[in-house]
Amino acid sequence: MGIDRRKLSICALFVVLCALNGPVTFASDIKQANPKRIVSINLCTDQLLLQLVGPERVAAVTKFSADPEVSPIAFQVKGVKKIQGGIEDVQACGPDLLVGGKFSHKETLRFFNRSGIPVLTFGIPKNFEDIYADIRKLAEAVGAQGRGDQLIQSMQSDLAALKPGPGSKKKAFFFQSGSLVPGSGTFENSIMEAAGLENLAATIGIQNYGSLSLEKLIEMKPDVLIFSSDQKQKPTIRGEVLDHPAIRKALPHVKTVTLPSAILNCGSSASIEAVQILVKETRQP
Amino acid sequence: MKHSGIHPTHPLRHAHTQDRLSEAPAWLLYGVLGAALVAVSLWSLNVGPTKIPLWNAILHPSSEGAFILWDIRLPRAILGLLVGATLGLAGAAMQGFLRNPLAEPGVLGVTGGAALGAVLVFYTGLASAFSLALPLGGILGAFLSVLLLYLFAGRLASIQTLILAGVAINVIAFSGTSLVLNLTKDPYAVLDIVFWQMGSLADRNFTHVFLVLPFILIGWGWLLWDRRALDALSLGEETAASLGVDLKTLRLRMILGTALCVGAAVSVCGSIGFVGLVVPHLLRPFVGHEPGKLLGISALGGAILLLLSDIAVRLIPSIVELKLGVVTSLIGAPFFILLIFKMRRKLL
Repeated sequence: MGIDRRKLSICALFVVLCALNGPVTFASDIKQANPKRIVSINLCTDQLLLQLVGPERVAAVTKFSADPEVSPIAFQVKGVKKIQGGIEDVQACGPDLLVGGKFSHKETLRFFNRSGIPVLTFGIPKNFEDIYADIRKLAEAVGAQGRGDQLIQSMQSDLAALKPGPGSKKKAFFFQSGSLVPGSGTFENSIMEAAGLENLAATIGIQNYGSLSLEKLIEMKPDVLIFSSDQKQKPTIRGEVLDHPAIRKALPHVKTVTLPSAILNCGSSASIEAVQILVKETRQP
Repeated sequence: MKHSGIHPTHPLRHAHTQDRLSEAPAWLLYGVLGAALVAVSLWSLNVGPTKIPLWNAILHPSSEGAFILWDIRLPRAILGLLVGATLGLAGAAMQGFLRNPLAEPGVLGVTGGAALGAVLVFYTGLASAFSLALPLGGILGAFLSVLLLYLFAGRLASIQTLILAGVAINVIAFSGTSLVLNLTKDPYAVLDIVFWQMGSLADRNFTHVFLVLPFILIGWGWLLWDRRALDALSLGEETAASLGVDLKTLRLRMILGTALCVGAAVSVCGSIGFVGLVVPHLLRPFVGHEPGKLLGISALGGAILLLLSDIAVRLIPSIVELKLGVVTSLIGAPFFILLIFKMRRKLL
């Protein structure tokens, strides 16, 4: 009896300590867990996850990941359940690890954090180093460090092969819907740098995303204009500026490159493909 | 002519002697407003994020400045002129025809309906396949809104009924627009709602100008056709009929004319509110409160007001360019409130 009571009080103490410990879960806590019912509620974590583990260990991914227009892993998630990412959706999957982005479905992430299920969140990468760090973090949590290192190494060697030679760089803008351009500190900037292009938006001091008037764009005389296929092809008012006739007339020799949006939506190994396309289109002998 | 029934010495000309300003001769009014319009248009061509000397741009037709002037700023100024004149004219015509000082395409939901029509053809890809679908969508939306307005409020509706009908149509149109944008597969399409609600002339080009120009001109023609009939109508329907006004064809031309020019304008520039309310009110005292005379000068005034607002959005420092409707509403909404206060006194 006495022993039982003591056991009980230790248990109670444990529960209290757990509660005090709060909702923070560290990757190191779940290092050895080897989760088998992983749920991802963000398009970008879907991609990271499917590169590290087989679909049999994934309980659910977002419904966007099955759309080949936005997701480069659409064919890989055919047999996996697709969800929206609400609390009930995730609960129904009985997850043993939940991964998501820092900025979407915050309520779901908070809820499962509180209920003691390991939760990992990922920010928006600003460069390839950030992607490597994300891969390492997730690889550790799902017990796939070997696969993670392999992935990082192959990305690094791909990038090294694309490294620009010395000489003058071509000047480029990544012109986006609503006259926005990514400047320094954006992942698009890293892609452009990796392809050996000078991002004019970073040159004129734009940090993160800034607005660039059509007039200023013409005045800066870029050699290369980069577009995202989604914004160029789908009808939106904000995207109409990308087809403004003044660009064609005032910059008749500008090289335009339209990158498929599916490889731009997230920083992942698919981003290497964006660098490859840029190199192929802009680096002529 | 059926509706030339008003003789120059008709008592109508002296109907509102109390609160009229010194009634200016027509040539003077048109001269002053026309000169102001030319000046504002030139100013509009001169305003932009880059500094281009206009003469250099004209003398060197293959310089960057020339492309900025001819392909970016000129279509913007022309559209500003067309859309502003449309809203001013349509506002004056609706106020005259409905004999209601609060009538205006924005307040009564005509621009909202036009936006819904344009959104329906634009985001389904119909307008990309067949470009005329865009103005036609806007025109159909505007036409249905005016029709609904008459169904809800009738011809001789009180001010309150008419405004409530306008509120209802605006709500229907706004929900419809949001629904279409939310159902569009592109998650960023929803951001466009600001354009359709607030309007903008930013980065429009000559394709847009030529797409809407014929519809706008025909619409203006129909609205201006009936200026004498509107004068007669201000004496009451029976009097107007006895003066030879055919009310049925007048109504048809008013509805179709408004739908054509407002629908086409909204389909390329979004809904821009209050221009049609403010301009006729400011100019009415100068024409002795005759609704027919008000039409032409309201078109000029509307163009001036819209071009000035469009200059303001480019001069006000902001990270992303302000929407045009923000400026016109900032001018128009206090005006609207003032009018309601004045009318409340009359109603009570």
